[in-house]
Amino acid sequence: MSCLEVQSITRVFDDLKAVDEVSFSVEAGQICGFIGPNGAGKTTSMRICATLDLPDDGDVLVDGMSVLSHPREVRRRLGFMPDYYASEPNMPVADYLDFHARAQGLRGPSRTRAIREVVEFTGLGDLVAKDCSALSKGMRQRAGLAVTLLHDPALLILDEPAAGLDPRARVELRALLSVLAEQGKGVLISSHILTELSEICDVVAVIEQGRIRASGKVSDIQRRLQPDPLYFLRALAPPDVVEQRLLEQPGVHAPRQQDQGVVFALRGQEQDLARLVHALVAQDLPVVELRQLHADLEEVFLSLTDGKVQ
Amino acid sequence: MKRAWTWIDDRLNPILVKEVRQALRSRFFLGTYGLALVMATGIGMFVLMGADSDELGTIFFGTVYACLAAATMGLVPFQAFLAAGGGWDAEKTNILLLTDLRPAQIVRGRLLSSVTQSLLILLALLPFLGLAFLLPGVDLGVAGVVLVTTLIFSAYLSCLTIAASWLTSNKLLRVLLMTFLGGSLLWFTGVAVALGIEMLDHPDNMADDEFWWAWAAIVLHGGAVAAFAFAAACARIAHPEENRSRPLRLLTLVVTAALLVAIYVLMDQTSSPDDEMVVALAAYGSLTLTVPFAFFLTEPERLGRRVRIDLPRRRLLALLTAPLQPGGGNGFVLLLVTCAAFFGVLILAPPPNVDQWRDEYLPGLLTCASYLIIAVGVTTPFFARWTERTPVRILAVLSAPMFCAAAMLAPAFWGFVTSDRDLERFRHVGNPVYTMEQVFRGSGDGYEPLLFLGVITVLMLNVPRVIRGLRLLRSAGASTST
Ligand SMILES: Nc1ncnc2c1ncn2[C@@H]1O[C@H](COP(=O)(O)OP(=O)(O)OP(=O)(O)O)[C@@H](O)[C@H]1O
Ligand SMILES: [Mg+2]
Repeated sequence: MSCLEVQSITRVFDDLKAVDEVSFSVEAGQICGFIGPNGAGKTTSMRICATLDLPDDGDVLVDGMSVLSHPREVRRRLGFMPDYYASEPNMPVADYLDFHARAQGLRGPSRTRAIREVVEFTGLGDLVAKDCSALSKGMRQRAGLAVTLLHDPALLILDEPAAGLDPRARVELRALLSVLAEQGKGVLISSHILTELSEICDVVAVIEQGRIRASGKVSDIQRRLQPDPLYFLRALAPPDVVEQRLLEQPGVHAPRQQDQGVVFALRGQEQDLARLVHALVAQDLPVVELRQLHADLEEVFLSLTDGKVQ
Repeated sequence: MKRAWTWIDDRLNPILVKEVRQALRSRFFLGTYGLALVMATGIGMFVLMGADSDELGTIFFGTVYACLAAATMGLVPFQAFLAAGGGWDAEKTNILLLTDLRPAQIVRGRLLSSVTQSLLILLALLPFLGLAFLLPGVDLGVAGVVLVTTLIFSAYLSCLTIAASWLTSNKLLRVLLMTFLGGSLLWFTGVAVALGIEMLDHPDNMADDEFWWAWAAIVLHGGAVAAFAFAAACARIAHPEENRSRPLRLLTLVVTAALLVAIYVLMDQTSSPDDEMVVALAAYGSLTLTVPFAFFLTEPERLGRRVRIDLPRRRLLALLTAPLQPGGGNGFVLLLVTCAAFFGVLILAPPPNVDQWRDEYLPGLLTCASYLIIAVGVTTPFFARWTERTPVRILAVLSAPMFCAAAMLAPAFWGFVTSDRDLERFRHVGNPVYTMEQVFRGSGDGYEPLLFLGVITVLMLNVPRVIRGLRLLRSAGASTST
């Protein structure tokens, strides 16, 4: 059974279809990246998964529980970190965590233990004595993550957790998420920072204008979009010339110039590549660099979305 | 001991714990607390030096009581408004709703934290109050009643301010609301202090039965209003797709039943039961019922997805729950059910020693019912299709009192134009007070056919939406069962 199963949800605001028959699923222990341009419907979909909003049509199952008919059971099984941080005045982080632990129904020693564990895990450490409205962005994210982890949920939904973090904090967040996935939790994470996601996500769902454009492993999506492998070639010649020469060769298609060189797709096997190199060199083209490009999330994202903002 | 404390600590409302902790750290509360103490000390000393000895206790107690009342009925509810205002903003409410807390727990937590603050303030002033008892002139019983009543009303007022704080998130409107609440709380505190001192001055009032009747009536009325405010606050944070109106509808039924019981108890207690009194109380009940029903009859005519899921599987059962389901059509069904129950009981099983066949009893009750149905049922069905939009909803709610005002004023104006003395002096069927006078006098001025016509019109106007509402229920119940 999937940890999260989004079944064809639709959400309409006035006459705007913010989410349009969106379906995808996240397995336990999997990190799923939810990517799309601004206004694509990521936050709306995530809020529906977290029971804060209801779909006009379709359903979402969290650990087999429907958000429509069993919202409380769903809430017990998931931790949702919204893209804002609601701080409380006159309240140290320790009390903030204590309040949320109580609100999640944790009692006595188990509450103390849960708080200690999340503080340790997120590295909040001495910050627990600090007033929670006086935290820096990175620390807020940690406090937010700590809150969502208190009741040991099976599914984590994080809305743009990496936004506004410095590179080190991002690397640390990534490490935390990997550990959580290893513990068997499902993680759904939305972000614009694609390089960020490609390194940690097992699968992605690409959404634009409320519709899912593709979902699954990045390499699979890449293969579906572009069945032939992509190569980058640079020579001591103007890229125009290189592109021209390449197009004359059999099996080469979809070339485009990039970084003083040319990216192209080649139909066929490695022998065909060897034949191509041989032919180019035989034409006296001074090749200095040739490498295969691997599935890149940015690549996938750009080719799937056309940049229309709702 | 420690284990006992852990046990209690675990069962405390989380919001209560959080808010009390925050309050103890906030300047507002500490300021209130300190100010009450300093003022009580200062004014107390001043009074002690100046007053003559007989009245000393009363004056001293009165002064300390004024400080207590200002803090518990003024500042504490106001603080509840401010604190809740922060909590009702969508983001924080969302965070709360993601936890295991139910809306009622959230509101109860806020209320309990206000009550706790009031108790803390009382505790701080206790030494002064103790001192007052040692001085001559203070009756312990009266002082106890005054203090308990103050605490009860402090809680009621907090309920109201908590509910009021979500009325709007618009900055300007919030400031206006704040000013209005501040003024009202100040006025209320003034009245409370005046009443408290009056009671201290005349302790023998308490020996009177009537004093206790009045006390109970006031406390119960306040309680009913506070309960509505509480339920409305809970409804506000519940999800819009859920049945937010059911608790309020149930509460309306409970309050109606309580009024019925009160009428029976009252008639049983008084030495001379009087049918006119019953009719007057029923009229009062009808008047108050117009308020909740103006809201129920203007609810958007749709069933949220969660409402549909929660409907009973059997179609017939689903139809029977109609009065408790959201929507104006279902609200009208509830109105008919409530009227039938309330007036039906009064007519079929009249209170002890009341003769239901006496001249004015039956016509009086039927008149009350007719006015109630007409007041809320004439204008509201016209808005039914557009009440999803908030401004239309507000207009629809306001249309009921506007219609009543028009029914009163328009004939009078017509009378003014045509120099008809009777109409000019509000002697017409649009004025329920005049009609009731006529009923009691037994000279029904031919108003019955008009009222009857009015009720029939209202029924006709509302039948379409009632049918639509029932159809919706039937189809929803059927669709979830497959
Ligand atoms: N409560 C609402 N009422 C009306 N429209 C809304 C509401 N919430 C979202 N929308 C609209 O739905 C669309 C999707 O919004 P959403 O916040 O889900 O996008 P997003 O993918 O999270 O964008 P971003 O990357 O900017 O956070 C937007 O066009 C937005 O204007
Ligand atoms: Mg968003």
